[in-house]
Amino acid sequence: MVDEMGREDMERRLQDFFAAERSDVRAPDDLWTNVSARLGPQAPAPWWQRLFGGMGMQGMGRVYAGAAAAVAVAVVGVVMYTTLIGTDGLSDDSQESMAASVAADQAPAPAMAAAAPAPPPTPAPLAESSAPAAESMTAAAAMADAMPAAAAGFTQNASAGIPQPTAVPFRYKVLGTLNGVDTLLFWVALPAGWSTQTGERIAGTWTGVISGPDVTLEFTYGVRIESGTLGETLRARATTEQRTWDEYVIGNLAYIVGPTEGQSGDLLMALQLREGTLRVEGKGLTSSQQEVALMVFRSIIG
Amino acid sequence: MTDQAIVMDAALLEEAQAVRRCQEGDKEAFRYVVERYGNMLYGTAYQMTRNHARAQELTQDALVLAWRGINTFRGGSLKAWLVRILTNRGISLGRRRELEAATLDNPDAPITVADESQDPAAAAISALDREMIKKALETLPDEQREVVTLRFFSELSVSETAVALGIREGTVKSRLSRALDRLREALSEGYC
Repeated sequence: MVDEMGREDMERRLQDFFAAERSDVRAPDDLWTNVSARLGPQAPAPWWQRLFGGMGMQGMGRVYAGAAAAVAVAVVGVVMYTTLIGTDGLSDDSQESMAASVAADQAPAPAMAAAAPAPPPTPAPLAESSAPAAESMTAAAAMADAMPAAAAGFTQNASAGIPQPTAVPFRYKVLGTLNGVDTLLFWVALPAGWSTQTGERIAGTWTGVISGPDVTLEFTYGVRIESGTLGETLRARATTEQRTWDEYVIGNLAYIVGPTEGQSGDLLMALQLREGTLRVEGKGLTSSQQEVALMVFRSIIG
Repeated sequence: MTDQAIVMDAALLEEAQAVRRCQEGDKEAFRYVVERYGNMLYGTAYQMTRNHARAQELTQDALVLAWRGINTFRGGSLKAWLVRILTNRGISLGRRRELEAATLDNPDAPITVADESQDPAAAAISALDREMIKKALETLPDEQREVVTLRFFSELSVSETAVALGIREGTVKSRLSRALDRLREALSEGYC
């Protein structure tokens, strides 16, 4: 009899089955009580939504918003690519320029002096990494920094707290189409083939993974409980073989610990966002993987 | 316009207003969302996990994430958007993998069927039939069971299911078709 049962009959049976299931399973009475106790501040709207929200985009639907965002990202990419190609006059080796930029961070000179070609960095001992010279922050003008208004190409003197334009050019590899991804914790632009996954939330801290071909970056996002500033905490984790530097990522101060030029190793990046601290860590990354990881990190908006 | 259509439009309008108020930070408006979709989300979570404690945790997590990310909601089906958060959260928590090893809520216990005289839904299906379908559903691959659950338990349309799972409508239809065929086969072979 069942053999002859048509698809409609099967659908009807499933409808009856799940209707009975629904009648058996009810959310707990205290669902709202439990949820409302956990409601914190809301994440801001994505930048493209904020940008276009006042221009009637709200009612246009996600297709148009997505298209607008894609166009915006493409324009940013093209403008940045052509700008960087045309201005820095360096070779096409993005690693070289990145190294030059980061090397400038290590130079014991004021931030503006970083405009000059920097000598190859040497392994920085811990004491040196936390010295005032290392406090001067150079923003490598990565993809993220080219985004609207948000402190693009700025350096900041940590003690003065005043953003200053940097003349350090930064070149990066053109990675093709970038996709804006909203993790609900933060927004990030990812190259094709990359994805994010948010995992467990433990003691108020989310964990997750941003991953792409051959690269896995683990992140945590939550309220800091350590004593000391975020920068101090991060620098304390630097070994003598690592370098540290600070920079602005879309207007937020970021702290980075990574291997010296051309070396493989762990890359630890931290960023103070509006509602918590985001740490992104990649282990055993080659220099080119570090470059991509930094590019991804620099696109984060929280 | 039929009365039913008017009621649905009114509900959608009410929902849109609630979303807008949520986006302005109004927690009471979010209560409306929780009360409207809480049961559906919890039931879907239970279908995914077969564990009440985990379903509760998953539902709460999804709703908190929804609140946090309500500013990213750009219209369309709120229900599908919520289910998408729930399923993504479920995946990210590795619920499916854990399901294999998880202690189910009395999996061997007889299904409690509501009083048929009071519950038309329960009356429409016998306990035996229900048990057979339940076992048949367990034979489905995850991706097919997921589609069946969202279509028939969560009562999402094909397009809403596609949104919720982040796949194309055609994929939903094909998975559903294969699932129905497989269920028919399972029911005819082993349980009837």
